[in-house]
Amino acid sequence: MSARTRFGLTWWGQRWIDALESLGAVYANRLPRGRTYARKGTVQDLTIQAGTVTARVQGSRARPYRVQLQLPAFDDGTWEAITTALASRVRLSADLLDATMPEDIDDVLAECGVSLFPTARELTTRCSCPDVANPCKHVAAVHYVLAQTFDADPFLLPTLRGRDRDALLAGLRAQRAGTDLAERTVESTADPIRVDALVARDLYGAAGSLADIEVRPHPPDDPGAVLRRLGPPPGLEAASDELQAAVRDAAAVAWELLDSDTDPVVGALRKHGATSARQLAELLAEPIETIRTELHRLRREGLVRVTGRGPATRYHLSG
Amino acid sequence: MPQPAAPIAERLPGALQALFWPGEPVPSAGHLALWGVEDAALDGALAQLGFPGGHPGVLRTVLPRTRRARTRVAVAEVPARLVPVLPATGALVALPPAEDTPAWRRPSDTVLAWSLAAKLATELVAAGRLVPGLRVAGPRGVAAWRCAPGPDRRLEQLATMLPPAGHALVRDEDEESVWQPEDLLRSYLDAVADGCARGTGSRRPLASPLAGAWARALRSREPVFDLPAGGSTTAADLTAWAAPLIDAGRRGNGRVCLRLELPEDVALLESDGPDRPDPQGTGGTWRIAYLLQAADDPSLLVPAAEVWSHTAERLRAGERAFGEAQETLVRGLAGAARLFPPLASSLDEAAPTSLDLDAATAGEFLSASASLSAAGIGVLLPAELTAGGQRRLRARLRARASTPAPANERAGGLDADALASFTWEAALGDETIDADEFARIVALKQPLVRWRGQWVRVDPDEAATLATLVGDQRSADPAEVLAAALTGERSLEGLGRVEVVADGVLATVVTRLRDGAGLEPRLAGVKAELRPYQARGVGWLQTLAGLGLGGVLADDMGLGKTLQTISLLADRPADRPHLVVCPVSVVGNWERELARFAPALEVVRHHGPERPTEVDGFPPGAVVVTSYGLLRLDAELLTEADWDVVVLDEAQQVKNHLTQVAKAARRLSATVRIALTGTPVENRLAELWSILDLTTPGLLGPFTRFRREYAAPIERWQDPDATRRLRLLTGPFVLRRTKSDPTIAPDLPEKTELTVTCALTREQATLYQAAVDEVFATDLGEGIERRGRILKLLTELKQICNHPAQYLGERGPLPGRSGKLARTLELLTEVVEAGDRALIFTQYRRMGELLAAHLAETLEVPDVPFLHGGVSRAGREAMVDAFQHDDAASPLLLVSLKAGGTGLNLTRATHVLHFDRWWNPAVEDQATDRVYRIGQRRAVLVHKLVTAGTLEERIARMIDDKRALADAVLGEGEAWLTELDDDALRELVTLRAGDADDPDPLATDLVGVHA
Repeated sequence: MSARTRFGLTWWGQRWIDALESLGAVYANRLPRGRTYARKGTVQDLTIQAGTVTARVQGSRARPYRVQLQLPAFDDGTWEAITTALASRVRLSADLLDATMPEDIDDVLAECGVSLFPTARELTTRCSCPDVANPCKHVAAVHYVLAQTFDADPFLLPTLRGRDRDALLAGLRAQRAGTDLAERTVESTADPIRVDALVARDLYGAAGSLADIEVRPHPPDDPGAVLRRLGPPPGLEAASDELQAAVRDAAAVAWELLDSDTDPVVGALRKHGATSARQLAELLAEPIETIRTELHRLRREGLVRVTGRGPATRYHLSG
Repeated sequence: MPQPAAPIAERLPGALQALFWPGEPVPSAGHLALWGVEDAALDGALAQLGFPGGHPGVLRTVLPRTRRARTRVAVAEVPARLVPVLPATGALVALPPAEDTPAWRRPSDTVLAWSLAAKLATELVAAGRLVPGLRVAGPRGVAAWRCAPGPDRRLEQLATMLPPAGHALVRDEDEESVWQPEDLLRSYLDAVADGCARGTGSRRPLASPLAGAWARALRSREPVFDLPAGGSTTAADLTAWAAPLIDAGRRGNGRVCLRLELPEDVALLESDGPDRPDPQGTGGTWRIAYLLQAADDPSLLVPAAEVWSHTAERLRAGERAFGEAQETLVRGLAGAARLFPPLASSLDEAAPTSLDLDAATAGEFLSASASLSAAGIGVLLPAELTAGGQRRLRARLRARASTPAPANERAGGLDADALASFTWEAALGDETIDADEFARIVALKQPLVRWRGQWVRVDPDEAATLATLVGDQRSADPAEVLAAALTGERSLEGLGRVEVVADGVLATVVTRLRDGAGLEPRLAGVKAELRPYQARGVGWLQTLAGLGLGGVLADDMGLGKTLQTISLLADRPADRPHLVVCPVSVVGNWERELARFAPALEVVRHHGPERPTEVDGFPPGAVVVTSYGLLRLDAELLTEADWDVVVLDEAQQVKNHLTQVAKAARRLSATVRIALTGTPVENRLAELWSILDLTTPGLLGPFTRFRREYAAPIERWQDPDATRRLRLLTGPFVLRRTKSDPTIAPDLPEKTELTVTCALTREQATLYQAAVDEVFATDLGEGIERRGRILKLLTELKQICNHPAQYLGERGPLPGRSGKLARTLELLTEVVEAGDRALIFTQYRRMGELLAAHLAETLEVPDVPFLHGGVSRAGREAMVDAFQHDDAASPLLLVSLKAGGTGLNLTRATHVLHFDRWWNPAVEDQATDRVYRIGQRRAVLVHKLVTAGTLEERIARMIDDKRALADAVLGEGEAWLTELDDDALRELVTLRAGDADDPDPLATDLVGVHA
């Protein structure tokens, strides 16, 4: 479970800021200035690569300043040790895959003699602004935005240290398997379809047999279980019970859609559209009085509406 | 510069099409757009498919560039109706699957595809597969639900099948592109999830303002709210949080599966003695094994050890590849641990493959298994420990029925007076547990108990319920008890499906019913050679009747339902009368066949003005034949009598269970009721219910319950479990054989000719009499004049028998004026309902034209083409081609006897109907031959319509008598009739109330025919 701070950051995002503050008094004093700056949305084009973060910060001049942070990537030997340590418990991978930094990540990496977060003299920063102070407010702003970015994707911290998501996951798989890495396949995402790629004669026909797709609804059993499997929503734990209730209600509404009852009069109206009571009586071979009583009930229940009057009276299903 | 596209109206497909039009700001703001016909016709087209009215709109989609364009398309704005997502979904899920609808009534493929999407969406939401989300829009937040389709590939599969018109919604961002099918389907699924979750909520205040505002926005119709500080970070976190569910289908196609394994060493521990229940203590080690399971093929399992040993991102197993296999397992285990905490210890291992646990924890796992399954985690339990399994201490109902003393003459039978009851008991395996044993087992308060050397599951909640139920007995309706005994289960509020075992007489009845037609038929008193399948049918009828139960004989038309029924009547004890209720048009037929096949049976006609008005008119052992019309009119008299067997012929007449006829039929007091129908009743469940409710009242329960438990799940998504239960329940009571049935076909001749006798209406009789009187009022003259007048008379009389409108040169109205037309409609309804095809021959172009319009309208089939001398060669070829090859074309084709001559190949028809007769068998045979000469493998039924009491009947008899001579004597045409002298002619044409076996030709009216 992730602890929250007054900044609304995750513990690991906060941990990034804390790590910087612990680098010395200069950092501790200058960082907060960047926070306001970051909130104004002046940081653009933030990219994270192994060992390097680059960004552009819109300052007082027309041309944005270029900011670069450098943090050494771990060497392969270190990464092998880290991967071994991470692979020792599937819980660590499960957390990462669920977009959460494992709470004991510092301890795990300490065993390998390293930390994901910056330590003294590791971090070098550069900014193209004329300010001689370092860190300048632009660098500080980038730190804040970076912390927020880490919040959303904990895999970016290892990326900065030299292993992106795919490489790390592949390394973990290899560790569990005890062999070397294999190649991975890439999935592509589909683009919209061009109008001129459509063919007139094929517009209306299904490509294949729809009967091949089986649908097997069953009455809701424990519809809340799917959501419980995810755990409480991060930052909104207080809503958990409410969500459970909502999912149960939604499941019941969906089941009612599938299970709605059909009345013979409703069925005839569905089939024949606007119909008079006399036509209904003929269709259903019922005395017209029975039909009228039934229609009266259906109107009261809001299922049927009426148009016209006198001999032109017609009954319809309401929307 | 492309030339301008043709007008929209010319290029519309002409059938209703559907696509989803996403909306803002939340998915449920989207609409189903329905289009495809002109604006004025849209509302009617919507109503026809059961869609509620939508509001008018203009849809930007694509159409063929010109009316005939085969390739090029162009963006077009078409008139549409927009239906909000939930009402639209309700209508879409109610549509039956395509294969259950004849081609000409089938909705378009886009509507069917979206109907499938709707069923999929509601299945997913009903299973709780939806997740909440938060989108940031400046200072405000938008709370919305999304659907999590799960790891199977159905959505992707549907996306590949969706016709282009089903997703060709022009995108707002780019005029030249349309939505991609998978995106549009996902957005629709989200819309259903969002729609179902909204407007249901309570509004409890929550501790956190953000959580409170979000939860409210998720459940109300107002999804937009002011975002408190920190909201945007939370939004990103939520996306990541929901990703495992939302992306399940995109990332991989496997899921984690937990398999509970019994202790291996249980056999070594048998020393406790057989009867001592043993709490877990000594009971060995249970194990949960971890596996990767293919989402779309639960039988494909890969053990965790193997998954951990593969480094490639894709794991190959057999012919299948799993994406991100290790990650699926890792995440799945973490998720499962949230629902079943003991699994958490495995998360501290590097490559866990299983978890060892004691019996108590294994018991907890059994209790958690429903929630784990519901959360999309595979759970495999040893068969005997599953919820439906045998090694489970469970509640069971013992069903008993006994006939009241003195034992009635139908030994082993059941009737409405039988005493029937259910008794609750506790059971393990097949055995009943007595009260002492039960108390001892429950007292252990353990979920898994060893009993008689085996593990037994004792669900604590269930055991508590059971303790209150055991020994309880209550009486019930015999039909209800029989139904439970046949299906072996009973649905009870709060308890779900409970197992049922039958005892004593009831068990015997169930066995005899299941064996069904195995009984040797008793055929004494039947003057006919029965075909083997007919004898089997009689055996089946006698079995049912012997048990005092009714049933439905639903053989195809022409297989001899009447003969089988008469064979049943011939063998019944003659202590009470029997009643045959049929359409008025076949009353005479029944009388004739009874006299022919069972001459010993007395037949009483309850029809016409001379009909009996007292119960005394129905002597014991006699067969009373009446019509549905009279069943309604004389209900009081007929319900007063005590019948032995009641036969309801053409029972589709009573299919709508609300009709007056059905009400009267239900009130008839009888030992056995048999319904006969030629329509495929087993596929039309409302019809099946109505008919079985008449023959075997109470068996299927009230209609609303039947609809919920059987009709809806079977008709909408072919639920296999409901289908199986329905078969168990109704199988013994419905017998249907088709002509193409391989066990029947060898017994059938390739062509069967049937003379179908029709009645005259009062109008026809009056016109007929007047025409005859007029001719004989003056001298007929000599030579050519004489021949001319005779031919004119014969033509007039044939026209009157066909239809007064033909004779009088009127355009209509047609219904209720011709007995022949009424009978034709009955026959053809059965043909069309059974999915067969028919040719209808007439000599008269005028009659053909009247029939073509009337048949299409009354039978609700596409336009019936009429192939006659005036149709061009190309036109004829098109008609023949459509009839032979086009499933969406009319299953009926009208042919003028004179048209075409040779060269027509119409082998798809299995029925030929000669509406009027050509008094020359050679001509008729030649016409009939078109149907079965080349490539015909199916038996053909030839119906020759003949009006009773008229010249038609007498000429038909003359031809039949002289059939052997016919070709030689009768020559080419009908000229031979003009050679008759005055007396012979008078003899031929005089209208008669009839020979002994004729029905009353002056039938009072056709009441009942159109009921």
